[in-house]
Amino acid sequence: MDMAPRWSGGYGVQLFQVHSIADDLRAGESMLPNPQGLESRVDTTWLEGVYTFRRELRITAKVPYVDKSIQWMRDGEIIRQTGHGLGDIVIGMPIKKYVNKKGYTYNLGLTPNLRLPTGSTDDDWAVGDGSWDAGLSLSYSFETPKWYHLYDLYYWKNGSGRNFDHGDELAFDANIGLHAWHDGDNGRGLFLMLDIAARHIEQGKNQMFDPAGDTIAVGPVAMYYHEDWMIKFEYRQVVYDKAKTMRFGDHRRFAVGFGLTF
Amino acid sequence: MKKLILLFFVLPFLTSPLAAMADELDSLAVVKPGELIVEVNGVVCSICAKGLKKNLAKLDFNSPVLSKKSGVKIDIRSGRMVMYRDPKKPIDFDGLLTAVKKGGYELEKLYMNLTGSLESVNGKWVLSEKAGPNKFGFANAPKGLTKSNAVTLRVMITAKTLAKAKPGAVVEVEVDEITKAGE
Repeated sequence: MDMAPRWSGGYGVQLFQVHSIADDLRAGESMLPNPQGLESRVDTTWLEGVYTFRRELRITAKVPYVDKSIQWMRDGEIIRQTGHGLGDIVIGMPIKKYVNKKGYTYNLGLTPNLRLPTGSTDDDWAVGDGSWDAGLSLSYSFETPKWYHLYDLYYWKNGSGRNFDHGDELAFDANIGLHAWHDGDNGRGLFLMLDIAARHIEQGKNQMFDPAGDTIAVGPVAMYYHEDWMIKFEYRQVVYDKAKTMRFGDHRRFAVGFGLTF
Repeated sequence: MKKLILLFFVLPFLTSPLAAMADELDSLAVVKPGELIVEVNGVVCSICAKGLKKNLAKLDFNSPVLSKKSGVKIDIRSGRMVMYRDPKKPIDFDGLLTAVKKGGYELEKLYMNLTGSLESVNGKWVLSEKAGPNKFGFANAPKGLTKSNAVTLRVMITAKTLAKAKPGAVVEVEVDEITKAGE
């Protein structure tokens, strides 16, 4: 499923809307009182594209539009800071080694990524930090007509920003699930999966609420496809959170994606 | 940090063998008259095989009567693509191999029914299709074959045979069943 389009000359686009909200204040593994109900909200709309030269080599581009706000207290007053606009564009070049056998297929992937400093650094709560960032992802996917597994380990080395820096990030994502229903005659099917996302983020510099720390989030994913298009829904809830400094926690993330392949 | 790296290496080993064991595939292909069944390794979902379907549909000998859209149906349980071929046109085996490869997969086998006349040429049996220009040799000629003007065979061709075949040469098929023989 992560392979589409695996055919030479194939391409695809996806619009992916992510809504994320957090309303616990955390320091370490402890929850701090939040009587004012302060919260942080981030909405990101990703426009994603992929082109497959041949199944071993692709190029991907992801363009985000970010709209976010955060609340905090100063001298007994609630301060609300916002940021919106084009975010940092991510370019990737997945290199995959496929093995196709009777009844199953798997692939190993290595993806170098580059995050360009296209996000605005001007807002109260800036969309980008103005740095060039480099990432490397190592992935393994295994699929049968019934089962689907994807494991992705990636690292982002974040460069120096203009006014503040994001810390480096190591992450592990797993999608484990099943091809619950399919109708081969009409090219339709449904995937149901469990999504597991673990993050380790190093401390950055001069960030008001540094996302540094360790988190594990889990949730369901449903993806329906029909011939050329697919739609997916994701929900993810943080189940473990250890903040490096004081920040918002208990993130809930809801995402909807719509994609087309050609 | 170490735990995340460990998870990446441990989880695939735990889950992949379970998934492979859970799937048992259909074995024999039941091919109907006029059909060409293309068995492909690794086809496990329709959307992943969209490019493959498109490539097969473009082949000149494909006759788009099976499905309104592409003329190619897919059965992901068996990894088999079902096409309807026009027997008046020559089967482009090289084109077929390329279509599968560019679709992201590897060809395993082809299944089809052949109807035509049977004759022995230089000690080897050759079937000439009644409706078109295609000729086939036998990798496993059944004993007791006799010259015939009307024979229908269910045959299979492996990808290895196609890879070895010289351009323009008669392709060897493995006979699964002689369903009708005259004279």
